[in-house]
Amino acid sequence: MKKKNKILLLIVIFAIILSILILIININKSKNNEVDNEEQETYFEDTSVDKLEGLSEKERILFYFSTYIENIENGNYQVAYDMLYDEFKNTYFDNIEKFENYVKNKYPDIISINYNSFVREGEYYIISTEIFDISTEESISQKFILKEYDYNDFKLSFQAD
Amino acid sequence: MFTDFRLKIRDFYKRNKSKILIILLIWLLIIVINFILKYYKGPQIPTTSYKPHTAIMDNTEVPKKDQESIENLIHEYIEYCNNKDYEKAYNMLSDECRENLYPTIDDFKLYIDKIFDEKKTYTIQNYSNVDNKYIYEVNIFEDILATGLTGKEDLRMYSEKFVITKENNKLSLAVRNFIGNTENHQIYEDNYIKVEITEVIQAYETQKYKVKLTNRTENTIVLADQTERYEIMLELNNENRNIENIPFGGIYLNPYETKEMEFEFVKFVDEENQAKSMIFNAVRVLKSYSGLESKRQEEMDNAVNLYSFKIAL
Repeated sequence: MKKKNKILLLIVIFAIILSILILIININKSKNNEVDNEEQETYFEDTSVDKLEGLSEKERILFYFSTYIENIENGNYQVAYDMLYDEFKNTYFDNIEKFENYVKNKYPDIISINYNSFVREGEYYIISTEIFDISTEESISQKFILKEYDYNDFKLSFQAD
Repeated sequence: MFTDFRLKIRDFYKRNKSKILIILLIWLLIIVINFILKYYKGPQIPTTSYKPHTAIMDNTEVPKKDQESIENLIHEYIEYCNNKDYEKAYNMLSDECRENLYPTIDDFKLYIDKIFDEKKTYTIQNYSNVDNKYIYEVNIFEDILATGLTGKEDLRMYSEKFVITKENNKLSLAVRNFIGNTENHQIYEDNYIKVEITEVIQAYETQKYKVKLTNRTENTIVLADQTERYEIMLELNNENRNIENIPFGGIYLNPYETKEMEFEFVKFVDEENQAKSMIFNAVRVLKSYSGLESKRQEEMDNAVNLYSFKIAL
């Protein structure tokens, strides 16, 4: 009888430990999913953290940047506007209309980009670009500043000349 | 035979039932934990090449427990500077740093106003770690995320070394490459001259010696006027380094004159090559000294003495 009790007790302890471990994993997974969902609503519709984890630092930053450009090209000005650093927005584009006017006047309909340099200064990335208008073959030089806070969480600004 | 074997196993199982069950449970538990460790990665942070607490010079890392405190210390200082809260920023500096670089708060204000002429941001990079001192390169520049470098061609930055010293579990801050000063009393004297070294001020890449020079003669004594290649040198274990700061007109003493000067040499705080002595390699005791190239040979021909000496450090 005593032996049976011992065995039963061991099985119960094991079951409890297993349950706790599974619970911890599920809690953490659900937390990650919540964060991912929030960020995806803001910036990306179909980009997962797993995909970004597989990219190198430079690839990741350039991916963020190209997502910003794609949103401008596709007319998703609000999404692109939300990617700007707040203080930068307040200084140069305090409303979405100003930003929309700026990008419509500044950039061609189809944007072609040459990357002149990619520099990291601490947590800041400075991307020097040459933006081409394929139809006229004219180009403008512009620098973009980007800071990544987490996967899918970044802010940027640019030379608003 | 097979029946006998089965009976033996059954008998063995009956006798060790509980032990076998315990072993099975432990084995299962190990498999589960292994599985969890393999597939559960936990929250991930983006990997970057930015390692602010790993020293550029030797790849050593600042202890993890100090990293956050150091970041907070530097952040607090820069915030005070940005907000022109001179007194609070000034009080964050170590006594030694204040005494040597900014004896008064007005001196400090001039420096802050020059560097922080607009809101600045900064980045840090651990550069070198010596004894209990963590040396960080701090780049200070405009808040580029806020400005987007608008109106600027390129990023311009001001750079200096911040030195964080840990003593009695407390961190203290020194700026502008200042490491510390130590008393080092050394004397050389002869019939012509007396040289007293009183103090060494160590910056990140230089050593500055406070020197008191006394001319004991009625002649002029020239120690350095850049007419000779090696005039005053710092002797290290395996090389000699020239003085860096010979003033215009040279280093010379009029008859019976006493001068206090600072001799500066390149000597990195984190280099292993140690200073052994200061060499005065071209001491010229001259009856007359004009400082003119045209009269130099004549003055040298009439010299009372031409010699050299060194002071152990």
